[in-house]
Amino acid sequence: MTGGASPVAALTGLTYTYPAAAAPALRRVSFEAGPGLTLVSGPSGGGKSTLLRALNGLVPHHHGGAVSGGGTVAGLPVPATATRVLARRVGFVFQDPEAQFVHSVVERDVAFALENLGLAPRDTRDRVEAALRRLGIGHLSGRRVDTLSGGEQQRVALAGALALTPALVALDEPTSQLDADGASAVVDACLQLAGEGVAVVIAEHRVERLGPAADTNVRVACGEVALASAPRPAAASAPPPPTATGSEAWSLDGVTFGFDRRDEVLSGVTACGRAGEVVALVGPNGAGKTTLLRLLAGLLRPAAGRVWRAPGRVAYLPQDPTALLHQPTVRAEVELTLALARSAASPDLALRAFDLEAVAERYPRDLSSGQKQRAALAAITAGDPALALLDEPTRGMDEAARAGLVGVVRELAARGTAVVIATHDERLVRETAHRVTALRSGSEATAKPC
Amino acid sequence: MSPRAAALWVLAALAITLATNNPVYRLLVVLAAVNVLAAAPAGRRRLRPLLAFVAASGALAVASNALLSHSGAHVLSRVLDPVPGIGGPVTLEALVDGVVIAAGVAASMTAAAVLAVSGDATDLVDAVPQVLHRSGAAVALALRMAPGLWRSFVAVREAQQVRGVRVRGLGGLRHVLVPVTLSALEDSLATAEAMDARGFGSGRRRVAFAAPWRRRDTLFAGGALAAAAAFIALHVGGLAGDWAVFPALGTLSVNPLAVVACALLVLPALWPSRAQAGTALSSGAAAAPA
Repeated sequence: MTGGASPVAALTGLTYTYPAAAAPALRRVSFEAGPGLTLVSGPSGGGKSTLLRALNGLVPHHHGGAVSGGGTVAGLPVPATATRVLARRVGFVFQDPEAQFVHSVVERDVAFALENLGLAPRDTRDRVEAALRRLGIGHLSGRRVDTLSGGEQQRVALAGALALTPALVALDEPTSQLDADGASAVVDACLQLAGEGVAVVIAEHRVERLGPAADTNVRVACGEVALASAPRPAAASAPPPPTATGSEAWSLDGVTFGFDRRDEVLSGVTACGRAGEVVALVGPNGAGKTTLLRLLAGLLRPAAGRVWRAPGRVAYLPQDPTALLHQPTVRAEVELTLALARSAASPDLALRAFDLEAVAERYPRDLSSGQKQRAALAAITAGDPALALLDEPTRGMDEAARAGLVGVVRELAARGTAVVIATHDERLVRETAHRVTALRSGSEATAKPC
Repeated sequence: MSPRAAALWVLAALAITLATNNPVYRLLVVLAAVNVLAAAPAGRRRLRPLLAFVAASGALAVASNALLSHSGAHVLSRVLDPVPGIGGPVTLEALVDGVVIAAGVAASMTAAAVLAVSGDATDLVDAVPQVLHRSGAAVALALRMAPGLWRSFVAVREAQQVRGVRVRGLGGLRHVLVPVTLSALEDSLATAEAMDARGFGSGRRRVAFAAPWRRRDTLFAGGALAAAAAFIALHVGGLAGDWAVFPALGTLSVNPLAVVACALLVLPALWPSRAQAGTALSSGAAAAPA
């Protein structure tokens, strides 16, 4: 599947089934990746992450399961070679920046893989410095990873992979948890590496820049891999249809809040929204978007000012959707919300709206990250909430799921629900928001009156 | 205190705790550990939730021992015999034995917390001998779960509360505890996967950015090991004896030399480190441990 240069990775007829899974996650996959950029796209739950894990042996050596077929990666046979051996030649960057860090200080974490290989300490330190400098983050070497932005964290993770001077770097949706600036920085780093001749295999939903730049585009769906043309950029976004807004549904009047007395997250914020109106909260990380949603949900009390909302059920999607998911099936999650809301509505409506019918009877925590997000959204928006508070709802979503979300938000507004969305996704704002409230760090900046 | 010195300190504290059932010595270990924790900025932040957890665990130990152990000469009360498991006499000796167990649990937990705040949880991997790296990694992952549990608990409780789930009481608690436990396990599995993908266990690790071993670390580790050795010698020699709880409470004796040995554990609190863990590592000058 690569053109020209000899492949760094080549899989032939690889079939893999996770333990206790009814169907294979990969079906007779033939795949090649050479130097340069290989973009892996496709729907959530289609097998992208599994394919990448087959390249460094996590599948099957870490996860178990049944495998047939195989190939070579960086000259080593797979699946015969263990992950810890493949790790010398294959770098891997995971979706969640925080979950992959082992040490709390940048340079120590970047050194971790080199230390595992038993390199001389001086060589390790030189390689760490070179990897950080190569990605333009040398100045972060002594910083604690928990003080970095998401984009910085992912570049540190990439530096950890690069320090090994691998033949291939695999990145599993590395921008799905990042804001636009962070995602852009990570994409820049990937394009730079691919330009330098490193084999970079990246699974991504944000394909606007990566698609045209990729040397090879493959699409993974239902466990099958096929060559594809560059994914087309999303269609021009249409503004939301006007809705008949009703009475005031929520308001904040001069609200101040801080987690300690010296550090105010919000200061004198005044904002409001009406029934049937979609308000987008935008602003940089740390501006207080999540805090504002938690105040509106009644989870926090303001230090000063007044928070008010009209009576009725609140639907709240937290940043981590797994906080909601604990029922045995996706359908049971939706049914629980409907039962709590004493709604007679059918769970099928919510499942259909988020294209979850095929996984309705599956355990929600076993789904892909995009599917989990959709399951959580279906669970909270089922029935007719008076107020819907959505925190970064497009995180990890593919294009089809995104379109479904836009449809649901518009429908909620049309049925009279007041919707507040905290997001970095500018396209979502254009497609759904009737009004935008911009937050700056520590204060509310602009909001038109209700 | 460097992670390796902390590991030795914890080893010594646990040795004293497990060598005797005398609650006085065990409580002296708790006091020393709390002082060491309070002297470190990271320890101060975690002290309150830790003590709350220790108190809850201790109360559970006392209550369950009093109800389940029916031995002892002094009967305080009686639970009706037909009640399965707990039916029978509640004795003073069983109650006191619960306190002894609670003191041991408290000493073990507070001592282990000293290691958790001495650096990254994963420093533990490098603080133990090569042969124990896999076990060290398992403990490191367990320690890593602890701070994430509270964040996860808050997020889950909030999400379920807004959804309308009644999160109070035993019935509601499962809507919180199940996802919190699952999230913690999933986080640890994700970290284990990342460690695997980064070659952990592929051979002998050579640490490039080890926390430096300073003279004070020799003092702290040496003092703690000397304390443990002296205590065990006194115990074997019959000078720092156990407390006979059954069948009737014996005399609780305390040896001044054993008290001095326990007091040696408090040394790290007397000379607290100025730098927080992780900030003094960028020099990278330290050589890898053998």
